[in-house]
Amino acid sequence: MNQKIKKECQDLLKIKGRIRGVILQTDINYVLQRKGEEGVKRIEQGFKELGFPIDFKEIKAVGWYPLGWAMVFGVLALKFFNWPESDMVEFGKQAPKFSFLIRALAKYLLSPKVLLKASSKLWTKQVNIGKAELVEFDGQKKQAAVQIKGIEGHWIICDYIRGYLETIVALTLKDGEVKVEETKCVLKGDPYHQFKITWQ
Amino acid sequence: MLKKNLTKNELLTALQKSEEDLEDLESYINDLFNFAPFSLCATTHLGIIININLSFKELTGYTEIEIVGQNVSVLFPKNEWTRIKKEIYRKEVFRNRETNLLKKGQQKITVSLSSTSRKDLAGNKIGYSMAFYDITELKKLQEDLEKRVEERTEQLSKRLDELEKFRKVTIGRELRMSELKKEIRELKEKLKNC
Repeated sequence: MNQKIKKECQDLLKIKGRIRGVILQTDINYVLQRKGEEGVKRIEQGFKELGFPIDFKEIKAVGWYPLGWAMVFGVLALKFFNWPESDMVEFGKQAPKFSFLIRALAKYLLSPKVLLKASSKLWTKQVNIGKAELVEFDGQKKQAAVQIKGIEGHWIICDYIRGYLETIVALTLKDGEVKVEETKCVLKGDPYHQFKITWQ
Repeated sequence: MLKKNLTKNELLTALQKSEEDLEDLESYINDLFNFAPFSLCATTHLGIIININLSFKELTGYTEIEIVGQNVSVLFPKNEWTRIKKEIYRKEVFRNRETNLLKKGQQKITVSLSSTSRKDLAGNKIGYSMAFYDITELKKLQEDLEKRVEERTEQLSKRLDELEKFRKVTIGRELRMSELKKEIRELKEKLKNC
């Protein structure tokens, strides 16, 4: 691992906040399906080189782990496998497909309204920092806005959430297209992140 | 049930215990779900697949990336889905319905399908659970057996016809021989009296 990647990862590991293990597990499963066991072992090796010898098999879905680990996982996957940065959105998109939490919380998948109204609850089940809130909902125009406050700005977080929202809202529709756009971002000086969601 | 007026330490211990219990429960459910030797999938109330188990992946060839988020109707031939859908949405539970399933690559297999609706605590339908197992080989065996029984029955029938013909010919000959013997006896009598 070159020094530039190492520095980037070490900075990410300083980011505050903890996430449920299920988020890490979904990322691991995504890499497993695209790159197999070898791909996952490669990333495990990367963590070891950073001074974190983690055995991914030991990660518990309901356990709490540093938010930085998920971000480092993403960075290592992109760098090691030469995936474009836009693939971080893909990470987020695929995550709900592996998440046991989503399956267990099927009662929230009844409609976009039910799901997005529960944003705050669903956020705190998975992340222990910041909060998510539905700030706009228009069923007729089929659009909504979700605000996320209290987390740091980093393109990885923004892209991941964008992808995640797209898939999870799509799960509430019979067959429909969902688009998610980040309309406010802490990286751009806004006080919070805000995502506009539209669906057909 | 938590008692009131817990100290901070007691609360933290209780929370830790709950988290451990949750971990154990999640692990148990996951192991059971993936151990099950028949294919399982869970859907939303609109039929969108949200969960599959290992047997499902092995049977259909689909991975989570490919099938989660898709409508469950993609697993069935169109005409069959129209028929099954009515039953799934109308009945709370049904079991062992024989139907065709489409694997990845559109190969058709015969499965036994069971389904149950899932409800929240308020009794609202929140989705469906489906289980199926491959009975293609069993069906083939059953069809082969039926074919062999049919062939054998036909063979026996032909043989029976042959035997019947032979019996008629034989009996006819026997009767004729009796008649001839009688004639001979009568003729001999006549000769004696001449």
